Amino acid sequence: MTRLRLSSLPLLTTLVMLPVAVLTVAGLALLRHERERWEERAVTAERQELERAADDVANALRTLRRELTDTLSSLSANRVEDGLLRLRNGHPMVRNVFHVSGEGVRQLPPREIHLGLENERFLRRYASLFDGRTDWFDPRADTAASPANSVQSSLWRGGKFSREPDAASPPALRSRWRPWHWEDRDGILFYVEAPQTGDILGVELEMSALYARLDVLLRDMASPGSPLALLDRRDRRLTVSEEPPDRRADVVVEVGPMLPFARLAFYRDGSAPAVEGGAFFLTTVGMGLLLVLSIVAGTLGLTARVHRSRREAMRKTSFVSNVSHEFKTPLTTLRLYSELLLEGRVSDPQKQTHYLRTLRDESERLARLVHNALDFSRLEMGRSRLDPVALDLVEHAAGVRDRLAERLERARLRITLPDTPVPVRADPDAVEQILLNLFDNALKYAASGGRLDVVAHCRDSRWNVRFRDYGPGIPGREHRHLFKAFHQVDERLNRETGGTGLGLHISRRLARQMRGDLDVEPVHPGVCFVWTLPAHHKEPS
Amino acid sequence: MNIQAPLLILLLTACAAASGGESPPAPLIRCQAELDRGVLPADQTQTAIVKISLAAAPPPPNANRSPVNLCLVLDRSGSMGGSKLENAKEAAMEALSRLGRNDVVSVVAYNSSVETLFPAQPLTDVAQVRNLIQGIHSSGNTALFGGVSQAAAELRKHSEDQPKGMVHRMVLLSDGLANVGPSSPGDLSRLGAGLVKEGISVSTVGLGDDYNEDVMTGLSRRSDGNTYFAENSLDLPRIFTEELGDVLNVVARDARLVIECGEGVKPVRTIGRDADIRGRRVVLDLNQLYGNQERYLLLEVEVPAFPDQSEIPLATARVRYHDVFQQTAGQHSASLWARFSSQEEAVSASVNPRVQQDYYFNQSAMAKEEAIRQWEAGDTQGARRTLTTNSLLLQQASTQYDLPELNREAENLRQKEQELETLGLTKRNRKALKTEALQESQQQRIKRHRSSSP
Repeated sequence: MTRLRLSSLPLLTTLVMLPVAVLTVAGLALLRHERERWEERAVTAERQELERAADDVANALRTLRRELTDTLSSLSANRVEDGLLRLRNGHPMVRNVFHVSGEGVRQLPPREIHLGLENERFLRRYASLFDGRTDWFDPRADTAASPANSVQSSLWRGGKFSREPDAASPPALRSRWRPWHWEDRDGILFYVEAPQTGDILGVELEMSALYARLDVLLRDMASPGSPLALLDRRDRRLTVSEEPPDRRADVVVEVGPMLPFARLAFYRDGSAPAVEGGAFFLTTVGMGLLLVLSIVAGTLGLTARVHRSRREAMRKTSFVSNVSHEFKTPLTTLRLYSELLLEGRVSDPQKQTHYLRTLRDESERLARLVHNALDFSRLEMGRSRLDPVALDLVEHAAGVRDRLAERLERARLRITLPDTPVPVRADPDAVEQILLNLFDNALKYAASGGRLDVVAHCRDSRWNVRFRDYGPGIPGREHRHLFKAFHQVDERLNRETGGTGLGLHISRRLARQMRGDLDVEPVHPGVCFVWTLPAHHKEPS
Repeated sequence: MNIQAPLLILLLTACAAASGGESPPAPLIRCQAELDRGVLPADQTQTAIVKISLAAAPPPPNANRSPVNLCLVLDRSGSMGGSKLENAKEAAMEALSRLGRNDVVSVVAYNSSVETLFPAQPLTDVAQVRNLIQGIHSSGNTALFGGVSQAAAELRKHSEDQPKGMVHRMVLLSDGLANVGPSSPGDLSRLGAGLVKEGISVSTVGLGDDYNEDVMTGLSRRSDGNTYFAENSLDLPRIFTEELGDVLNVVARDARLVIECGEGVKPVRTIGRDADIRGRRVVLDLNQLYGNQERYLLLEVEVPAFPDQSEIPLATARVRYHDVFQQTAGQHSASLWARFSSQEEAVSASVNPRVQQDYYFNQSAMAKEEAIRQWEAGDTQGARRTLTTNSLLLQQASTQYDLPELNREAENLRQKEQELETLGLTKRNRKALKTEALQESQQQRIKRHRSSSP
């Protein structure tokens, strides 16, 4: 079952990821399309709104024009200049005033008004007009001929000359709203032709005051973070609702004939997500996250799988090479000795006996190895079937000891067994296998200790059987690896003792299959294995 | 008082020299005209200096002061960070504590954008305004033009209701160069010129070394406000207190001084401040006059030849104003007569040292401004020469008219010339020159606060 699940993981991952990826890509494409549509609509909406704002600016200027028209046309003919000066000193939007009278004779009050540089500069600014080089009512210069409409604006209220636009239409006057570009700055002149005299009465607008009013108007119209700016023809900012970002405006519209040199610019809020962006942003991020998570999960699963396969392959390779190596040694001995005996080159009967005994020992060792390897295979494949019966462990241990008697004698290792029977419930073959492995271990590694004591205690209907030797022992850090397959404490290739590294692993698995366990206890000197197995209460027959 | 008003006006319209009696109450604004010499040389065309001064009486006892429409415009740009902003907030809150329930207050803060923290409204909840001011943090750039525009809009809300009933005042604080929106000295001067027509004066407070004093003085000078320079933010509370002191001490608003020169006398120019000259008529507008303060205009006139022992009316000056206590129009006038003599001793004995001193101080002020202009145009030699020449001129006048203060000013000019030679025109000594020039010519409160540390 485990194997099935493991091998199906990458397949499952792929099966999940593929639709997710397809869905995500499709979703993104759809969202992108939707977003473009939204953006288009938003830009259109922004442009419309900006055009309305530009209309508001233009209307505010028309109101000012209307108001100035009223004031200028109401100046009494014989006190024109006093009236003009009052206008200049009292109207916040008026910087300079002028009066041109008679055919060819231009009488300009500012010439006599000492304002130092301001006065001179004013005359210089409009020199071409005042000197008669430019026509006062040049039809080409007529930028804003349309009369003021009915829009009411409070923008200019507050001056001493404020007047709400009359409902009645103004007298038909020749007037001109005349933007003027001079020394790379823009100004506006406004003048009317006096109906009776034909004189020209005019004002120069105070541009700073104008921009200050528009500044407040822009701030009223703009929302924080999305600045509005009034740009001149060279994209310099005349006035701003707040500092715009250092880039081109997103939408720009003309203000129109009242302010022909200026354009109104809108800067989208850079910090906020794109238009209608909230949902789009979240969906995109969500889908992106899902895709990334699927890919990561899939990759992790595959990696783990690959890693595990590689480890297993390595283990199997190591098992095969170990086992082959272990098989080779007894086989070589068997072949060598049997050849010697067959060829009859050994005449000494003592030597013959020795050779024959060696042949038997080595074939036994081979059998043990094969047994272990087969057991391991069975256990790994999950095919080992155990059939526990009641038996006396001591009796079996004695049998195994007898089988090993000759090796034990040669190794000068003495095994002492409990005096009383140890009735347990276990599979006889498995029991013998475990005993054989434990005794064989002692023979191989702990013979120098001289003895192996087997002691048994029964507690809570379980037997704890201890196998204590007095050999060189096993370092503490090795204890937890001791029962792993193919593990050997001495992993050097030229190690003295052979083995597959399966004995203890198989023994523990067998012990556990019989509802017991096999573990190691720290003792000094030597090693103490503890084998726990269920007791059998009835006396074995 | 109302019954006496027509009588008062009658008396005031009479010649100022004649109104020496004790019984009628002294006029709120007294107009006085003087010549640089009481006796002019006879039989020659000449120029003379006329000084017309307006002396405001202290506010009458027990009189209710005029309500104030005040807007504080605070710089919260990045450079204001730390103790500067904290001291500015402290100063602003201190200033507010001097106002009452009849006063209208608004607070505008600006950096890259402009925000009306407290829209114009009667000051009923001081704690609320204090909290708003306390919450100001510094960051970003300096949208000075926007700040002033917005503040003007706030002040305008109440200037329409009571155009003459309130003192409209904007107090602008900045420590840096305006860099958002219109930012040149010209732009801000013109803005000031527009605002004063609406009765709004802007007092500017420049902090540190980095602000543009031309922008700040242009705005305040054009709008008839005060100009303060503070080297250290610790001086701000004192400055705000002084400014509030002035605002609360306004006795007359919307004053217009009109000078009519006599037959044959021609006004040539005004010295130190701008005024309209048209024919024989000179007009000076002042947005307000403070109690116990004197302001004056120096006018250079061309006088034709008159025979020995003749006496002619040289000019009449008349001031009209709005009395903020009576809420009525007030006026006062003065006549100036000139006598002519062919005796040189009589002429030199008649020298008026006060007028001479004011004249020379204004000359010195113009010299300082000229020196700055020359230096910045690259004419460093010319700048130093201007200061040296004027220093000598002042020294000479000091000896001639026995005016020790002129000698001190001559010494000051020499010192400024030395500084130019050794240090050049640094931010700091440019501000010093500019401040002094303004102080001498405007008779406005123009203060340069030096930090108290050595």
